Amino acid sequence: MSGADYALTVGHGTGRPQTPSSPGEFAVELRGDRLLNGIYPGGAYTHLLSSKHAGVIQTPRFTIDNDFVSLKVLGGDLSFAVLIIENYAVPRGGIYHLRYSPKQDEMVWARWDTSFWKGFSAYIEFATQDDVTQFSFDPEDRLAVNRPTRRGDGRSAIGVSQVLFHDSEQTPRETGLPIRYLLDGTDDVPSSRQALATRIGQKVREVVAAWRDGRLTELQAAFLDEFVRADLLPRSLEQLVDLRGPVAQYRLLERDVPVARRAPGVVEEGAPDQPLLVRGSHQNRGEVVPRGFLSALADESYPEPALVRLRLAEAITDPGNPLTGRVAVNRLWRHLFGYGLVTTVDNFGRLGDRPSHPRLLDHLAGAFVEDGYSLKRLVRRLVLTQTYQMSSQASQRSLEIDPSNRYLQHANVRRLDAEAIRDSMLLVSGRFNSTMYGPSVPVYYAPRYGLTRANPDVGPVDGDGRRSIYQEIRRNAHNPFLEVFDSPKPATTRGQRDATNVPAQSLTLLNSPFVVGQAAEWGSRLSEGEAGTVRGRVDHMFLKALARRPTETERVRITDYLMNVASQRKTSEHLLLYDRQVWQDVAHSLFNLKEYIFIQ
Amino acid sequence: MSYIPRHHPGLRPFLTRREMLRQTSTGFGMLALSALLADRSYAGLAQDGVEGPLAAKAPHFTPKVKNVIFCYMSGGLSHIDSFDPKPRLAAEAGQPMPFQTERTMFNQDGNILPSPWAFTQYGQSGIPVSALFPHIGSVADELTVIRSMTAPFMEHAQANFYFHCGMPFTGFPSVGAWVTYGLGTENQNLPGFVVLGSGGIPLGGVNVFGNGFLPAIHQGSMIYPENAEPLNNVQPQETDRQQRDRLSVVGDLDSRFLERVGGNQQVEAAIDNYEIAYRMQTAVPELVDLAGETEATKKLYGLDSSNASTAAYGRQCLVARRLVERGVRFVELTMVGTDGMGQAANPWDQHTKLEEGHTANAMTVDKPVAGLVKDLKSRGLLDETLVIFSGEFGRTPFVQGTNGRDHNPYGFSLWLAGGGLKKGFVYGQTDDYGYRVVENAHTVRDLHATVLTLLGLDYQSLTYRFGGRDFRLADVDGHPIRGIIA
Repeated sequence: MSGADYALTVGHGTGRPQTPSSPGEFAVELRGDRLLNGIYPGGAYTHLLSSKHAGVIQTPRFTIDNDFVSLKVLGGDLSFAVLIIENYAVPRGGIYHLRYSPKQDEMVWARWDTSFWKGFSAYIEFATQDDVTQFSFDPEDRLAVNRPTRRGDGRSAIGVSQVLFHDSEQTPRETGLPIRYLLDGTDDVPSSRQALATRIGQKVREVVAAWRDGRLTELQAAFLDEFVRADLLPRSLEQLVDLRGPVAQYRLLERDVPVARRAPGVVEEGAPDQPLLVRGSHQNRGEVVPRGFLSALADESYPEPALVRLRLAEAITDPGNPLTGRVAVNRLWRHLFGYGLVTTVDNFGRLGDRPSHPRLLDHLAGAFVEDGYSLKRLVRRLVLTQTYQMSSQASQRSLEIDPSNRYLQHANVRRLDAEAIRDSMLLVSGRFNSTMYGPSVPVYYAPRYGLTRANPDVGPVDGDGRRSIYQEIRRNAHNPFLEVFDSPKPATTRGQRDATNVPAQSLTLLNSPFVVGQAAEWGSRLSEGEAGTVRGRVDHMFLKALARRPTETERVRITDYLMNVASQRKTSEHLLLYDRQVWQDVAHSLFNLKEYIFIQ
Repeated sequence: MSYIPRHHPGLRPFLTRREMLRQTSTGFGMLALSALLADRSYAGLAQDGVEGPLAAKAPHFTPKVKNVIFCYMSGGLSHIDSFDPKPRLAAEAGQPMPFQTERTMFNQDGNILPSPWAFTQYGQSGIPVSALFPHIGSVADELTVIRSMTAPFMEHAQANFYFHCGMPFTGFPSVGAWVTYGLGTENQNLPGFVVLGSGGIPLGGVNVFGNGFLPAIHQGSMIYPENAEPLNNVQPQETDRQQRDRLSVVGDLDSRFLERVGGNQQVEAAIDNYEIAYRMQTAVPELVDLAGETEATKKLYGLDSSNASTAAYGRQCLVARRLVERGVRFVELTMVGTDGMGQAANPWDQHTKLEEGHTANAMTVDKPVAGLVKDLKSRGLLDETLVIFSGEFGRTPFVQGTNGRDHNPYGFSLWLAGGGLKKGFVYGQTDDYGYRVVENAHTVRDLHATVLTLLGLDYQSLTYRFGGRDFRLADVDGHPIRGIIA
């Protein structure tokens, strides 16, 4: 890969070289007696200083018009060379398996059959393990089929020296390079063993001198590599006494090279303008559309490719842009009041609804921007309003003139969102685990529910007691509890959720292992806790579950119920407060109250 | 959904349905009894009370059928080895295809591979069916075979989504979801759209049965006829008495809450759901309990087969009949793998060993599906039911590798049986090699429009507004296949 070719590549990472190396580079072995494995040809390498360095090298885009692409690469530890066709980096297997993971510290030729893909646009990415534009997997780990895994020490390396486009089926091979060098530039073919030995000695000295002076040619590098790898030139520290000190020092320093921590983000490199796909068909390409802001709002395309996303982000968050504030404020309004001021919360366009209170929306949007986009302040601003504090009792007049309550004469009765129902059960039962951040908890689903070979694992029934926001979201194994309460399919934006009312919700609240489990949790905490009185405990449970004390009628009814449970269980009165089952049953009943899942 | 209360306090009847139930019967026990007596009665009650999104709705015009049973041959059944005989393939066996073909999935295209199976003409109609399906052949006079289907996708997940939702990716409602959205369901004790799950989930995953942007209530509910708990959470974790005591105290407290919120419709519906849920706990196990079926019926479906896959698929077919008897609108069956357990996503996908694989798969479905058609007919249900038998695409007339066939979406076959169709009828044609459609080409969207039409739904006016657009199942380019409608 020459300097001119390399200058066209894009990429990132501490291991990505500024310019390709000349022939003669090498990597020092990290342990053992051997100094190095061999001498590299000219090329780009991510690990010349340390294999802890990450690196990505992407070639420019090209149209595939040959039957084969071959690459001369070295490396290891799950680094990859990947042919990415039409920007689609995800597939693996079958005819899409155009990737190669080098396994050794010596150049080999790999070949891809690209005959199927002629006419498509593509680029090649060379990248260290954690930087490949695709999850990398530890092939040994059966359970990790779905998960990206990282090697513990973060090491990985890749180097590339040549890429060839060709139509012959033969994978390129290089044989006899040292012989060629021996005969290079002369007609004087050694005719005796003695003459040959002299020639070799002379050439080795020549090559070593050239290497030392940094003017090694490709042919010389191959010649030198051959001699080093055959141990005809010393590469053992036992022999290279002078190098023991520097190598030991390198190894010591290298140990302290930090491994980069990766965070998901957007890297804007070499992104080209894309054609319009007419009527959404990828096979029907229209004109190339320059990237820019929505043309209906601002007729301006962005010239510098490297800043396109940044400029879009700036345009979206520009205080002079009223849309962002309106949309954000409206969503929060929906959260608190049930419906947005614009009821189509995901659509402020021509096909969306008009706001019920346009000036209020703009007032709130303006205040939101002035508050530095603070959602917390916005929540406070809204919940302190008289409107928010209205009861859900409708006036007769309101029912007549505004039956859908668009003008909010009273509060809307609303069902809690799925996550709030689940989280509040955890909180009430005492199982709530307030841990924040970290990896998601795998989904629990009943045996065979959405189970596939790729999704064999089942998480804990109670999701480890953690908030719903920390539960894993899997496209094909949606959390069944959340789903039944209308948590939307994770396929598209859904600002206004449905609040359906289906028997599956009742079945869930009656029979699901999660709900029964939380009732049991609460029941055992109560029965093992401070005893007090039945009346006191019932009041406490109401307060905790419904944020109010029971009315006298309710108190009588629930006490009747629990006494009945106790008598069926033959629990004597003085043991009543200690019988877990009794209190589990009361808890389970409270979870099934409509008041538990509806906000008045 | 409307947010307008259907009745506010001033207009409330003296007794709500709930109050009526509480005061005129012993509550849940009484309802459970009536469940055994008349399964369908509840739907009417639900309509009188609060109208849920699944309440039975009137179709747009007189329907030809009421229910759909969809036998999905996941993986891609080979049309030229089943319902579209091509003698030319035998004549030119081993020769290259005479014309340019499209890209295939695996790019291992070989020469012409004739069908290993002989075709026989069956019945009065003389519809040719291959030796793979002798039992289906025996009901040939009930079938409408379409040999001119096309799909624009040749990869499983995309084609599965397209076949189910009319779009090649997740996020759109499955045809069964559209049907319950359009028609509701007649039996409130069972889900309106049921997927029977002893087989594998097609590639693409459970969202091929999903509700997409429709309310979640419309998504396909998985019922596992062979599981101890056939429907998620349908198994009570306590005795009936304990549960009724709980429902009673909950009901009493709820009725006070309902008063406090002014008879709010949502709250009332949520209360009503407990009665339905209670009944589902009986209705679902009863549905999958086949003890009441005669030995002759079980045999008809192949339940006595020594082949575990045949017996498992036969059970799905029999439960499908029981579901449509109970007024469930849309039933989809999952293809059982040849290991008898069938977690395989795409059993018909014979990229290699066509003969072996198709023989085993045909063995799984042939007798059960034919038994289903016969049983529906003898019970007078076939006229009001539509049976669909299809894979997501067909397979290539040329070999893949040494003994397989690759995917072919450019021309394939399916068959329908049921009300409103021309029976014993073959429609459409592929070329002499079975590669491309040459007559009456139709897309899966046309099939969707046809299904809606047969159900009495106007495929153009059944829409759902989402993201600023009125979506249709058949989008803007799907139209009913008029040539097969009687």
